Amino acid sequence: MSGYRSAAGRVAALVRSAWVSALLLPGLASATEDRGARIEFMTASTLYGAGVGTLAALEFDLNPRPAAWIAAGLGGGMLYGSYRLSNDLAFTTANVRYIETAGLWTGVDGALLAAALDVDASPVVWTGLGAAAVGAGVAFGTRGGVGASEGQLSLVNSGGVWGPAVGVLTGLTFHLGTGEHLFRDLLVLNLAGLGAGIGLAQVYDPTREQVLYLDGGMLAGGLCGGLVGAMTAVFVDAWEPITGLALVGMGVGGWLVVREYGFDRKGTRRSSATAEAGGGLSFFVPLAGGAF
Amino acid sequence: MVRRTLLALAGLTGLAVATAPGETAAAKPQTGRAEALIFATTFGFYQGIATTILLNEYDIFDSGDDVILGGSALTLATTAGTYFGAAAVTDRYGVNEAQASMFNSSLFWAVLNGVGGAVAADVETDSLLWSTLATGWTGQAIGILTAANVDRTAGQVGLMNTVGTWTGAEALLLLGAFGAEEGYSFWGTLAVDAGLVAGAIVSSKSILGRGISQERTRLLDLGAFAGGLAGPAALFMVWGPEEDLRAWYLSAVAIGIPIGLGTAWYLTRDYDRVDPEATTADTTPIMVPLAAGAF
Repeated sequence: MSGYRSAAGRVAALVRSAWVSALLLPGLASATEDRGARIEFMTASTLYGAGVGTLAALEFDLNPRPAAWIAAGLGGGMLYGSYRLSNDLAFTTANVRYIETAGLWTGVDGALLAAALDVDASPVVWTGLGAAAVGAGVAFGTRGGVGASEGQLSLVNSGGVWGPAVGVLTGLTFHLGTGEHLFRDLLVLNLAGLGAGIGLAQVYDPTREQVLYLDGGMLAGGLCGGLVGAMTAVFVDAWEPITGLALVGMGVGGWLVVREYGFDRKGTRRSSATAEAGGGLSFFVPLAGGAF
Repeated sequence: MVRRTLLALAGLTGLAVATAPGETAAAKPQTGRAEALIFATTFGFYQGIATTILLNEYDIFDSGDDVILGGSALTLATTAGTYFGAAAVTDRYGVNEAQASMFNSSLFWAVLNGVGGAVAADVETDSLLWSTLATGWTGQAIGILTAANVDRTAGQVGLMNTVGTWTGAEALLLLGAFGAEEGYSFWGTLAVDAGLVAGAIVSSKSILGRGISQERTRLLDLGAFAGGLAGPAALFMVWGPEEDLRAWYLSAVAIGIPIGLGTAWYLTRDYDRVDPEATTADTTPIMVPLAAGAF
C-alpha cells in the first residue's frame, strides 16, 4: 500500500506539472500563423514518436511499464520538438501535407520493398519507419522549393491508394500473376499510382475537396459495380464479373463526380483559398487518398 | 414551410434541406451538399443490406442465388434512390454546412439510440435491424425538420455533439469503474441523450456556444481523447499492468477526459477570436478519426 501511496504521489506530481505547463502555453491563435498546419504538424509528429517508441519496445521485448515510458517519452519529445519548430518556422498546410505525403509513401514503400525481399517482420518495420523519417526529413528540408497545392498533393495520394486497388482488381479479373510476389506487385502498383498522380498534378490543380469527391465517387462506384457484378456472376457462374464490374464502376463513379464537381486545370482556379471537405466527409477520409 | 418540409420528406430518405431562417431561396447555399449526400447515401446503402438480411430471415428468398440477386438489386435501388432523391432536394433548396451537420447528427444519434435500445432490450437480430431502420428514418425526419426550421451554426452543432459524446463516455466509464455488470447500453444511451440535450442548450443559450467554430469543437474532442489516454497511461507508467487495478484505470480515464476537455478549452480560448471569418482552417484529416464533433 505504501508503494501505491508513493505511486499516487508521483502521478499527482506528473498531473500537476502537466497542468502548470499547459497553463503557461499560449492559446492557439494568431493572426499570422496557419493554425491548421501547426496543429496537424504537431499531431503527426507526436503520433510518429509514440509509434516508434511502441515498436521499439516491442522489438526489444521490453516489459509493459518501460515500454509505456519510452512511447510516452518519444511521443512527448516529438510533440515538444514540433511545437518549438512550428513556433520558429513558418508553415503552410500544403507544406505539412507535403512532409506527411513524403514520409507516408517512402515509409510504405520502404516496408514493401523490405517485405518483397522476403526478410523477417522486424526489418520490414524498421525499414518502413526509417524510410518514413528520411522521406519526411527530405521533404521538410525542401518544403520551400515545392509549390504543390494541397489539392495536388491529395491527387498524388489518391494515385498511391487507387493504383494498388486498380492493379489488384485488374489482376484478379484477368488472372494476371499468381500472387506469389504480392509485395513486389503492390510496390510497383503504388509507385505507378503515385507517378500517375504526379503526372496528373502537372496538368490539374484541383481543390482538395474535388479530390475527396473523386475518391468518394470511385469508392461508391466500385461498390455499386461490385453489386452489379455479383448479380451477373450468379447468371454466368463465375466471379470475374464482380471484380471487373467493380473496376468499371470505379471509373464511372469517378467520371460522374468530375462531371458534377469539376476538376480544376492548372492556372484556372478562381480562388486560392484552402478548400475544406465537409465535416461528414472526414469519416471517409481514412479510406480515401485525398486524406492527407 | 410545411410544403417545403413535406417535399423534403418525400425525397425518399430524403435529405433535407430547405433554406434556413434568414436566407433567401435564391441563394441556395450548397456548402454542406457533399456531407449531407454522403451521410444520406450511406444510410441508403445500409437500408438495402439490412432489408436483405430481414427478408432472408423471413425466408423470402428460395436460394443463395436469390439472396445475391435480390439483395444486390435492393441495395442498388436504395442507394441510388437515396442519392438521387437527396441530390434533387439539395439542388432544389440548397444546404449549408450547419444544416448538413444537423441532419447528419440527427441521423447518427438516432441510429445509435436504436442500437443502444435494442441491445439493452436484448432483442433478436431482426428486431435490432428494424430498430436501426426505424430510428434512422425518424432521425432523418427530425434532421430535416430541424435543418429547415432552426438557425444554428456548424460549431454549435459540433459543441452539442461533443457534450453528448463525452457524457456518454463518462457514464460508461463510471459504470465500469463501479463494476456494474449490466445496464451499459441503457444508461450509456440515456447519458448520450441527456448530454445532447444539455449540449444543445449550452451551445444555443450560453456564451460558451456563441461564435464557436466546428474546428474548435474538434480540438475539444481531441483534448478529451488525449486526456482520457493520458490518465490511465500515467497510472500504467507508475504501476504497470495490474489486473486488480481495473477500476483505477477506468477512473483515471473518467477523470482524464474532463481535464483534457478543460485544458483544450483553455488552450483554444483565442481560437475563434482572432479571425472569426477564418473558420475553414482544416483540422479534419488527423483530428476527425479521433473526434466525435465531426458530423
